[in-house]
Amino acid sequence: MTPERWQRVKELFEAALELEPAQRAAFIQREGAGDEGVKKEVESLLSSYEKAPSFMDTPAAENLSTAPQLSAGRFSHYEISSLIGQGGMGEVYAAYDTQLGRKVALKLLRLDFTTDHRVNRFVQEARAASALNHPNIITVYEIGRTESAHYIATEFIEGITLRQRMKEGTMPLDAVLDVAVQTASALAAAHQAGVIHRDVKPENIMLRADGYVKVLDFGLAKLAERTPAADTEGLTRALADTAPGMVMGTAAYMSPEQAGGLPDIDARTDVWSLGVVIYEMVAARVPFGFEGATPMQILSLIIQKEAPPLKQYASAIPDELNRIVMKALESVREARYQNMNDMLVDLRKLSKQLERENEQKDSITPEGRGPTAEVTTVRNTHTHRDTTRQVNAAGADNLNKRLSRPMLAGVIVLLVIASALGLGYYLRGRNSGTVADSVAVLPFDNQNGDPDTEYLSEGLTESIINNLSQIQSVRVVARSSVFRYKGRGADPVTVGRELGVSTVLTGRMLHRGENLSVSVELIDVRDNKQIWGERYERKVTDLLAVQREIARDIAERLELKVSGAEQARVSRQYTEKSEAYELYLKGRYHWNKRSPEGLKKSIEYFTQATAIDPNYALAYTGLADAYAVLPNFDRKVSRRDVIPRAKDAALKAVALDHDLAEAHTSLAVIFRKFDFDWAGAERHLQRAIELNPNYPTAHQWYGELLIHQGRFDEGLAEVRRALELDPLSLITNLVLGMGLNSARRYDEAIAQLQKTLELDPNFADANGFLAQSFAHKGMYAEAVAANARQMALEGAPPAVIEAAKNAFAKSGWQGYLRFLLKTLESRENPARLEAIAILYGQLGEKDKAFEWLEKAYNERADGLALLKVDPWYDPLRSDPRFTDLLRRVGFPPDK
Amino acid sequence: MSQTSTNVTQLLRQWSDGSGEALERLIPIIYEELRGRAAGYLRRERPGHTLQPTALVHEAYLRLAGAQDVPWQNRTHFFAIAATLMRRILVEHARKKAASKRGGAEIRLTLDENLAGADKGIDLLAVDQALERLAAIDAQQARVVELRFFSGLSVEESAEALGVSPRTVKRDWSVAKAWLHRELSRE
Repeated sequence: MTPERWQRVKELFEAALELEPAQRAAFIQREGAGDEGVKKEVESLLSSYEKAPSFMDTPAAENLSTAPQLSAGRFSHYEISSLIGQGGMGEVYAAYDTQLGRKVALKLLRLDFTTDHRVNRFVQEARAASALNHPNIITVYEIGRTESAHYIATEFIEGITLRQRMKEGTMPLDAVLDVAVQTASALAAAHQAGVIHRDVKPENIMLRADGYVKVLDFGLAKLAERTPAADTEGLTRALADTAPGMVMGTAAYMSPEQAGGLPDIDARTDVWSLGVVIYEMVAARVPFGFEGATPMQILSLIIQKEAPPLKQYASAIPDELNRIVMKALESVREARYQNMNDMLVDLRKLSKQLERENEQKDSITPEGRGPTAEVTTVRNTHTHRDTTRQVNAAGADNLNKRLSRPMLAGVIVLLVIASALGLGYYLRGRNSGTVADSVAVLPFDNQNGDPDTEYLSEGLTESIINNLSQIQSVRVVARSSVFRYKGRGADPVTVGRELGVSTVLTGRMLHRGENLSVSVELIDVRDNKQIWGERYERKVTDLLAVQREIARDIAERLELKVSGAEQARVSRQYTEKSEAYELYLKGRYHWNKRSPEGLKKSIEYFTQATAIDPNYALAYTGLADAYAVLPNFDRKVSRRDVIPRAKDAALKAVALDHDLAEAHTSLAVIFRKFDFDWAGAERHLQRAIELNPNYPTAHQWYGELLIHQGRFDEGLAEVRRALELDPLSLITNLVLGMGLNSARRYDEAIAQLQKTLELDPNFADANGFLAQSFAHKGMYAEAVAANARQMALEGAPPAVIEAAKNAFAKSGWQGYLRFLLKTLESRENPARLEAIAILYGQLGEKDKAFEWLEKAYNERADGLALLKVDPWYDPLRSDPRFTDLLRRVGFPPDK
Repeated sequence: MSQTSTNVTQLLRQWSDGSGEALERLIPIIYEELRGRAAGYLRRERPGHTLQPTALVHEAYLRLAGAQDVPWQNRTHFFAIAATLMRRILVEHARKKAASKRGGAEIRLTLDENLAGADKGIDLLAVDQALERLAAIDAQQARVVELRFFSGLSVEESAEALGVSPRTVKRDWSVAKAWLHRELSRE
């Protein structure tokens, strides 16, 4: 149906809908007369519409059902008895472990509802919680998975939640302090182990009958201070957790930084939330919120207002309690307790002081208490606590109650100290003698959150990667792979596993005026333990030194074998002038953006750096690299103009520093791209690899160079080596696919390119090469589809893409190629000159093909490197003009 | 203003100025955000508590672009991209679910499928395929379906995103519904 007739169908259909159903048939008969096809279509659509007028009116997502739930039955070796709740990451069931014969709480995360990333996090969080061995933290028994779900089995807590307890009635002050102290000590222990809870609220605090308080649901917990991503998870949860009937969601307990979706949530968020919980225990209301408030309203109150003093609602409380709570509820984090331990200390002090005061008030003889206090053990305490509860319930015998109080506090102190000490010893024990063979340096977190200083944190990261990669005995993941995780808040251990390394370095940088504070942490991926952490407080002008220091310290901690020459390179200083170094970092920062403006800016910065330090080889390589790729990104820039500048810079770099791998690599590229000097390029790449075997770019370009010469096996091996160093690099993955395509190993090429697209489905070039491999296999429909995706990703107008598809549908492959040719040729500044030549060649128009190949040659088009091996040129190969061109691009005929 | 929001705001502006590269860079950012959000919702749903795609898209927008004086144009552009991505996310989800139903024999035995109520809804995979065919006849109509059905936008919002009148959207929507219903009944 033509667009015009379809338009007519739509008009008639719309007009008919406005009529009474009974009149529609006659209307169509009358109006549709003359075009039977249109009439039929309208009739058919109308009848379809009348059958289900509200079809699809509910948006798609609303039809998606909820996760199926387990009813009574078995799951793995557990017998499910009932659903007891919905946690942050899945449902929780009461279950019975048939193997170990105990009651457990079983939390499930179903696989069909989640991404790998989520699964990793679920497992990660379970591990985080299971690593916490503390009497006030729920014990994790088992983490496991079946074919269809991940699960966590935890201790089953017989008791009530703090929420339930508060509903029973006002809590006496000592009970409030008891819960507060136990909760704070649980959180302090978690923080010490690097875990932030992030969802502290009465629903997640359980009171056991024996007096123990248990903090649960570390479902939102993340490893502390390693999560630059905004806490939108919590936000979404606050918004989602407000099904009708729920009085209060998570919102009321959120800290201002969580409510505002700030990127760096740290332990102080738990300080705040515990403050809210204590507030509520005392005042029977939360500091922010009102009857009937929506989560959004609560969040905006939290962000905008200060908490009303607790005393306002509970005048009888000690001033100290008011002070503690209000200090926890300072909206500016810096004014709050800086860590949970400080809050715990204050709470405990207050608790003791109150007990003493009570003791003095009641005239109880010291002799009466002494012996009991001395036999303090956990078990005894339990017995006493049980008694206490019963006594309390009966509302009598204050004596007994007061007796038990100091004892309990003492026991908890002991437990906290013991567990902290134990943890410390455990960590140290595990860390001694760590040997690692690989490391990923994750992008340092720029705590200034200021794009203007981003180049510092990025540059520092990159410099450390470069310094470390000088050491042969360790594999250092390359920049482009680790920077894919930038700002994604990925958990370091998960990232480490994804990158296949044994250790991960994370870092944070804060820049205030002249001062620079850098903290780093080296984590063992295998057991998620910190191997080493350090904080460097320096002046910005010492940036250079910090970077070398960190790299050296890491090498030391990893006990790497470092040769003398390597040692020199690791701690080598590329420039004496910190100002030049800073400009260099700015240059690299902009270069990494690979946009026309970014490249131009990078050229400016590199030039300034070389002006300050004329012997700064690294800055010259930056300059060479920027010039070399500029024409690829900015079509207005002619290759011919920038070649000499790129070459000058690269030659200068090599002249200044013979031992700089980057300089040789840059020069090699220019030799190859612009001079067609394959042998010269090869020499320099080999030298670069010799100098720095961990430099992935050198391996990748060397691989390409070999492939272009038809040395496929060697070439593919080099590209694979680059991939080992930089597994997530899109471009290296693409190059492997291209290489396989050139080697005419199309099935492997297709598989590789599809793998590349899994990394990033929006990678236009990968779709483009995929299309080529399909085409060479004669799978034209697939080729057209892949091409269409490429065009869409490159921003081609939908109409053009449609027209291309139609050309294929109507006139087959040749028609399609002709359409592409027309489109490419009609562009004012055709990007791929050799592509036009290829299309002419494929269509049998050799003269035209060679005409365009000449243009490509004059422009030193990048694509000409493939001349010798690309299957597209097959129809032209027998022509003497082709042989001549091959010779001119550096492939003499005898080879 | 965080860097992401600066970025997204800038990219939206560049895109509306005709930069294809900006779109290329926007898509993965928005996709990640939407997918994360959708997964969050889908995971946490209680029976009877449904995912509101409009809310989701609005939230994603607020988070990525921030609320501060972003030209209205950018917002509608954002919705236009988001609609296509929501389609992709929801179809992927449906596909995964279909796959896990085939493969998850073990858990199916212990699941109470009645609780799931999984099959009342419309077959998203079929809609997706039919929509491909509709796009071949009338691309704008297919976009309307993405905006209304997959992204849950109102007629007015869809009209803004497409730069056409609400009336046109209304018409395209009713014809598309009828057309898709017919296609899906055939299968």
